[in-house]
Amino acid sequence: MGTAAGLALLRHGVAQESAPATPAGGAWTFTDDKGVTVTLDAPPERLVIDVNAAAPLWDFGIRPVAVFGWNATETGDFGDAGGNIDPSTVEIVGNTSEPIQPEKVVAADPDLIITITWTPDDPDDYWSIAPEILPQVKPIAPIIALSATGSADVNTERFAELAVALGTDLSAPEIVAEKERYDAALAEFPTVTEEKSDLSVVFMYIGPEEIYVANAPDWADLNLYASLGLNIVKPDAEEGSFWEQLSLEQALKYPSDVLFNSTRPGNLTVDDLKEHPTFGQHPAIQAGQVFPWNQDFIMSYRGMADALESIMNPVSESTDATS
Amino acid sequence: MARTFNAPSRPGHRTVRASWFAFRFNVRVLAFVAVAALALTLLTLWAMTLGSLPLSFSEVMRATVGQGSDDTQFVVRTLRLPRVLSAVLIGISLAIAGAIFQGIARNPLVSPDIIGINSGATVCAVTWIIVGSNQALLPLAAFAGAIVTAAAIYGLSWNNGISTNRLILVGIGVGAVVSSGSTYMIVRFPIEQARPAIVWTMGSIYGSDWADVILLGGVLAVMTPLAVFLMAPLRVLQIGDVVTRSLGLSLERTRLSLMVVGCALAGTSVAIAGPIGFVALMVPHMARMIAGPQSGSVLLFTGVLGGIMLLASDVVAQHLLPVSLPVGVVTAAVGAPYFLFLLYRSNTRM
Amino acid sequence: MSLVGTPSSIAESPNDPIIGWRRASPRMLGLMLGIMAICVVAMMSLRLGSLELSTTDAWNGLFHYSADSYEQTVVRKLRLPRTIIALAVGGALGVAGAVMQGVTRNPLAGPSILGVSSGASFAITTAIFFLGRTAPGEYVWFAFAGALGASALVFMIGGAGRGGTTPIKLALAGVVISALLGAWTSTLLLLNEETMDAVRFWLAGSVAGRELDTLWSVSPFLLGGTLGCLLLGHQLNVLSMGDDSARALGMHTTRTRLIASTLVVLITGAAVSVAGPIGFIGLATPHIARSIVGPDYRWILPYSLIIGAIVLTAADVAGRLLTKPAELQVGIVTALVGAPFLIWLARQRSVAS
Repeated sequence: MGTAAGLALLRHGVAQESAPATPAGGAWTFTDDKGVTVTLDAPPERLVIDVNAAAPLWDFGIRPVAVFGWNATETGDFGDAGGNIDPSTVEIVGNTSEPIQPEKVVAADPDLIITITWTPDDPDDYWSIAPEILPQVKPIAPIIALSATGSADVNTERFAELAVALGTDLSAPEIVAEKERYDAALAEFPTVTEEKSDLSVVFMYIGPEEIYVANAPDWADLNLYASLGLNIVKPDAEEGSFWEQLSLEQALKYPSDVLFNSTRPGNLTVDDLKEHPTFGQHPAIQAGQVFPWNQDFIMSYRGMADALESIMNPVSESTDATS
Repeated sequence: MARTFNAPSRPGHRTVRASWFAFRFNVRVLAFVAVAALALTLLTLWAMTLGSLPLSFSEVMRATVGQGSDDTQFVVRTLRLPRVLSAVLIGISLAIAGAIFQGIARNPLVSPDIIGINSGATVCAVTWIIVGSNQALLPLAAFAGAIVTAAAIYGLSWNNGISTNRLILVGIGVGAVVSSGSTYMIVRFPIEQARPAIVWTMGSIYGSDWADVILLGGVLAVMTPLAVFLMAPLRVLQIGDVVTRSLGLSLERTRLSLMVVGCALAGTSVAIAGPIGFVALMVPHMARMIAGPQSGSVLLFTGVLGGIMLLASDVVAQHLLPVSLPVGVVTAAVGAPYFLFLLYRSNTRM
Repeated sequence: MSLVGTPSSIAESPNDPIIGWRRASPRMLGLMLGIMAICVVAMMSLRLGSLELSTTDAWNGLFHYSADSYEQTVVRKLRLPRTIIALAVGGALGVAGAVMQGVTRNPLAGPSILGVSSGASFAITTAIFFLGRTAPGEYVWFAFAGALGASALVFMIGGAGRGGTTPIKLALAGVVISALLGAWTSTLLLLNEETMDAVRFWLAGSVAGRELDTLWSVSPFLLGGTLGCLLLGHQLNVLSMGDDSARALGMHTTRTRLIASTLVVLITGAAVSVAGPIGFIGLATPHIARSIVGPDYRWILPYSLIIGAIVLTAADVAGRLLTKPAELQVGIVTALVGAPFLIWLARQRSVAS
């Protein structure tokens, strides 16, 4: 933790500061997905990042000094959304009840704050930085937000761009290997969907008491799969609502050949589903074609390669169950 | 409304008289108030020094008046001071509101929540969090919910006057309907959208700024004298409706005025910090156990005690636990042991 | 000394058993009507739901079940258990609430002031936090133990200090313990998202998705407690006259209160462990019953049993229909069904406390 005397809080991002011009590197600039352009005197080194943005950046080799967000619990378990982040190497400056804690952020002395956004068109809506706390965070460091909606391939490239701006070398061997895997998956996916074009797929979360059916256009990953030819069942949900909710009695409202069940904790296992009074009669479940869907996919080359393969491989081995 | 109690002076009391009002206060209780106020001030100063950037008393003082480094000033004036002051003012408001409602309803289990205010504010706030657009208007939504619910309860209880039991029953009914609405919002949506709403219902001073402090301070400044003023006839109200009517006091007007005051205090607090239940319910009991039955002077003591309790809870919630929690979660943990201690020592007379 | 209503005008002895019977017969009739209403509500619960099906399906599902029909499976495996659970839990909570109000003489008293709901909630949350989430029925015993433990704590603390157990000290101790347990529950919710996700459904109160085994395992407590409570009618009448009068009549008030409260805790603990905290029934049903049959607890108790069962089952059915194809948990709908009625009642006449 820095001491009060040692911090120069407002030295970052303020153009009028009379700091001596740095000889190498020069001005650093980046435009985020809200259209905000941030300019700094030097490339930022100390980063404070929301968990959902830190996970993909971690795969690109970016190491934050601190993370924040709903899932940055002090118990150190960031869940699936945390990806490969090593909790012991980062400070925690936010938690479930206070997603970002301004004083702790000040103590972490950041050059830049990074988060995601679900509404790129709204200038004041940042994930994990609620409007009432935004005025207390803005003076600390500039904020950059990348989009989490739209299509996952576009978002992944944006994270790659930000990582490069922050100093990543994309020609590093691990990253090159992951990119090859990602590109291969992207190329193979359409061939699988072409071959299995008669199969319908539904993405759900099935818990003991509640059932949700995912509305594909609202999800970055599902959008990508649909654009690559996957035949995803569309529920009766409004745009932007992410899910349609069903009761246990309505289990057969969307029969399909393949069912992807979200891996969020608390869901029913495949055995539970087979013995379930109503879901046991779903065609995909009877055919044994129920597979896990990682709802908290990570938008890096590694993360999306995993995601694409986790959908593509089971579908390629599935057969028609509904006719 | 001239209110001159030509009551004979009582031992231990002093009376302040002006041309149109007389106010009698209890010297012994005012001594309690002074001691509590001193404790509150010391607690506030100490709370200002706590945080991720440990500061000394002198650094805090200098930063408050505009000296010291930019960081220190930012931390003290923008981050810490509003939060500490909000905690104090909300504690005072809730404690006084609780005392008022318990006095009106003559039932020690009553809190603003029974009158449905918390539920009304909560359902509006929860709905706004989940489906609303401009989150900066959240306190307004919560406040609107509180007022509408209170008005509905009062309106529905009105049947040629308000009987206490009817008020309670209607409050239970309306409160239950309204809180089923917020439960619905919480289970209907996926956890990503429901989570902030659930956290809001725990009650927290996160994100409070100077606008909140000014609003709270303003409401308190207006409502506290009113409450103290109206509290004197409240002791008479507690004898019972029949006796009160025979004394010719304007029973309904007093009750209504007190309800408005209580709603304003509780509604503002809930709008800013969410429902913090324990303070409004327990602090009046604690004050009574220490200082005696409710009166104008004891009401002041109740307020200061509420401020101490909530600020102490926020200090614990933020700084003294391995995991920082919302203040509403901690008030019970901080207050309960002290309350149980008082309960143990109390006489059979409550 | 007759406690049955007010004496009629002509000079008849109040102790005349035939007069007692005549006064009682409208209430008896009401009881019969109530039982018929229960049957009607139960049939509606089997027939109606978020899935459209025909009366033939419902009939076959009960009596000529074949596993091939999806509709019949829904009736037999989903709706039948939940109807039975709703009736049992609703009736139990109604009786428990009536006894609680009789014991404390406070119209705000519901079974939850003894800490039962918060004890069960805390136990369930702890179980989910450490063991992960499974079907709601798995944690019945945790919830029951939590309910009993919390109540025991409330009694210990309410009885501590000078003066022993008074209703007020008990109620205050209940509120404090509930607040404490609620605080610990909230803490666990904040630390683990899976727990928060699971517990929010349990806390809404629901009879869906539970197997009948869950009910059978706690049925001894439900049945025994309810029967015991129904026998308390006379004691509660005496208690309602005030502690001093009751003692003058030879009643041991502390012991009676203790027995009554223990029965309430057993009933409510069992109900809450099966269906989660459903607060409104215990609070409102006694008032509704009292407005129909008057202040005699020997009638209030059976009426509370019936009204509670009807209200909860009707609420469950409404919950299935209001937001098709999703469902509303019964804990949410109960207030929507019962509260307007309660408010209307409160406006009609002054309610005895």
